[in-house]
Amino acid sequence: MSKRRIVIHLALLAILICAGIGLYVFMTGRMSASFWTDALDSKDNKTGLVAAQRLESIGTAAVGSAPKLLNMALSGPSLNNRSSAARALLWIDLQTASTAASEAISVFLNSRDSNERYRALQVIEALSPLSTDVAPDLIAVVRDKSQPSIVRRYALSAVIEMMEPKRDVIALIGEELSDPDESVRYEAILNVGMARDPVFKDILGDIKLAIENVNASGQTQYLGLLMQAERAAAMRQTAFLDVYIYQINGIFNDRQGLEYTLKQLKLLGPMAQKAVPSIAKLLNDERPYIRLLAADALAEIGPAAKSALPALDAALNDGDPVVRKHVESARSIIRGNQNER
Amino acid sequence: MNAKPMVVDDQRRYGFYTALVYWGLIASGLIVPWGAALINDKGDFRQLIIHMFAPGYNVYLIGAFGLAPMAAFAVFGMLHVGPAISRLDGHIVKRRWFGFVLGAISGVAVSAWGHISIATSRDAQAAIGYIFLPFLVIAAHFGGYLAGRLIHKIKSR
Repeated sequence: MSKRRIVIHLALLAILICAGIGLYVFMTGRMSASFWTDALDSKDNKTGLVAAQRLESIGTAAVGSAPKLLNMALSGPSLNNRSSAARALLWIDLQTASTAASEAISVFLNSRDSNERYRALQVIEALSPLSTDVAPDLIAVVRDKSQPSIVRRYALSAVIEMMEPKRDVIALIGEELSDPDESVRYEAILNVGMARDPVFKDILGDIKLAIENVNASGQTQYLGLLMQAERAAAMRQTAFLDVYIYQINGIFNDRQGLEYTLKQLKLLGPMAQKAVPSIAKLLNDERPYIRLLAADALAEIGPAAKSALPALDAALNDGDPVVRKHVESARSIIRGNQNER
Repeated sequence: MNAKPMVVDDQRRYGFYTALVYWGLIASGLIVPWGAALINDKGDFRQLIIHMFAPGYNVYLIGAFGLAPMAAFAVFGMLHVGPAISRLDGHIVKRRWFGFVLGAISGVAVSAWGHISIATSRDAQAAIGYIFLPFLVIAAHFGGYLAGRLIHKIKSR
């Protein structure tokens, strides 16, 4: 085998690897936005679903896909497609996401068809940071035992995702841990168990009671979740806070990780005062959705976040009108005007 | 040392077989992980294509992870066996070639076992195996290579 042949074989492999890397970069990068936008039209539900998820990861560069995503969020072929399209809109175009949230809220409030209502609830849940106005209605629906159980269950799930007003939602979860309807009770147990959060300290008694009930009925699948929730609720909130601050400042902060952390900091409210400088830095993030979540987290911290006011003042010039609205609201709350929300 | 000296025909033959194993390894590097994913998708090609770049599946990336150790061993084999063939050194060529082939087979076998086990596992956490599998495959390649050389040494005594 001559040296020339060896070099040819190695060069062909190098070309193959470069082509493979190129294809991966193209298919997962900004350049593929139009490809995935076209894939939204596919008759195959799963292709549409993957396309929506890919567009979500591309972010604002895929703004051209917003009208199609709006259409999919409101009348997509499956629940997964609808909520994935709605979630993608949060990262791509907040204004279109607001439109989707308003439409879904309108369907939920005005429709008499329980199927339509619970489909709308999936979109409301996916767009929870933009749908908080409907939270009192959702709480009322969950408490109304005459409502169809599927609507009550998804209303509970959506309101837990919003966690606003926090005190009311936590009290509601405590009540629903012993709901006579199993599907609603399941949703409450699942959420309280998965959240692993000290914000549930207020309903520690309800969690203990649910553990006793679940233990008595032998439903071991819930027992582990509830015991996890009990341990987390008993923990000091500051123990979580340090982890969240570390995550925000981390260099390998992925999109979804940051979203989760900001939502958790929002839940901690004034307890998260130590995180204010880190959150304020995120008001300059390139992703509008992250800036919106940062403003929401600061608003929830309230007057304890006064040191973030200069950053919030600067953020009043934000290019995104939805972010500006949330920044204005956060400023008012921090300055002491509680009626803003 | 009972090896006969190589002639030009042997040189061509070993050159061809070395190239065959080299490209076979590279093809296996992609076919094994994607094939395992196809088994998991119950033979549905369309599903496999959708999962290639789908978040949560990333089958394309898994293929790249599967290819890495095999491509590394293929390059090693080409640079190790190829020059010996050009020197017409019959004994060294056979010893190295035997090691290369056995290394390739053992690596592909371990890779197939690993990928199929992970892809068909009921526990989603099995996916963590994709991180460790390339190291296991590369160890199997070089373990097989050493074993091949040893077997050839014992055989040629």
